Amino acid sequence: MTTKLLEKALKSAGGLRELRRRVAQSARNLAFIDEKKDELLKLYDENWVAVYNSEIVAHEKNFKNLINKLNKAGLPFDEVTIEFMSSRKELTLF
Amino acid sequence: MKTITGFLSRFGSRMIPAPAVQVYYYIERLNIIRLVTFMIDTGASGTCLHGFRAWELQRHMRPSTLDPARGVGGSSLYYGERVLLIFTDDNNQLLSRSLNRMDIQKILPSDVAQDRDILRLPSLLGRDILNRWEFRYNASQGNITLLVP
Repeated sequence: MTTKLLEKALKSAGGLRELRRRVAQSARNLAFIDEKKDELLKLYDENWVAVYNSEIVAHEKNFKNLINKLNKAGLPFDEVTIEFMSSRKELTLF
Repeated sequence: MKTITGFLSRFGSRMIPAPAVQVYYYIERLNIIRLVTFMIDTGASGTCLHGFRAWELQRHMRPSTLDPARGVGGSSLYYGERVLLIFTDDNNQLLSRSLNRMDIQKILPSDVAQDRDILRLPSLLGRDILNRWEFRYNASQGNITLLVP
């Protein structure tokens, strides 16, 4: 049963098919980053990287510059998977 | 029983992989919907947005909703928004849950200038959701599962 709120959300996302497509696309992008992490860390250490369709489409040291690059390339921010690559050994407590 | 499969992620770093799940959040007030990789965090009492996910929302946030939160790394201020979280189960069906409040970290430009790592922090799926479900965590087998009755 779909609630009114979920219907509004789906409409905002462009529909159920589009929502599912983005989930699948994001999963592929994340898998790409994970599979290639050693290579990506060598190439893009301390950089933000943007992955679209399992390809690096932009990288920048500064997050704002990355977004500007994506905007210039016409790549929608909410369809691109963004990660910061860092080889620093650090204790993380979340 | 519905099953939501998560995965292990290093969140772009060399840290020991953490359990993660992809979830949409929808803020009806702003008509904004985003797909976020949340770290599944039983140590977080509430689900919260951090990093660039929180950063992109700052201009929309309401100061009247600010609340402090304390963590092992220190304390921070968070805005609050009523949201709908949308998960996809293993049968590709949608599963949605409302939260009266999802916390969104307050991030000032001066915070980013002082500490660029602030934009890297992962968003957290907390006990406000996790305590409703069963969370199976077997990292040695790569099995991360949320079971929804």
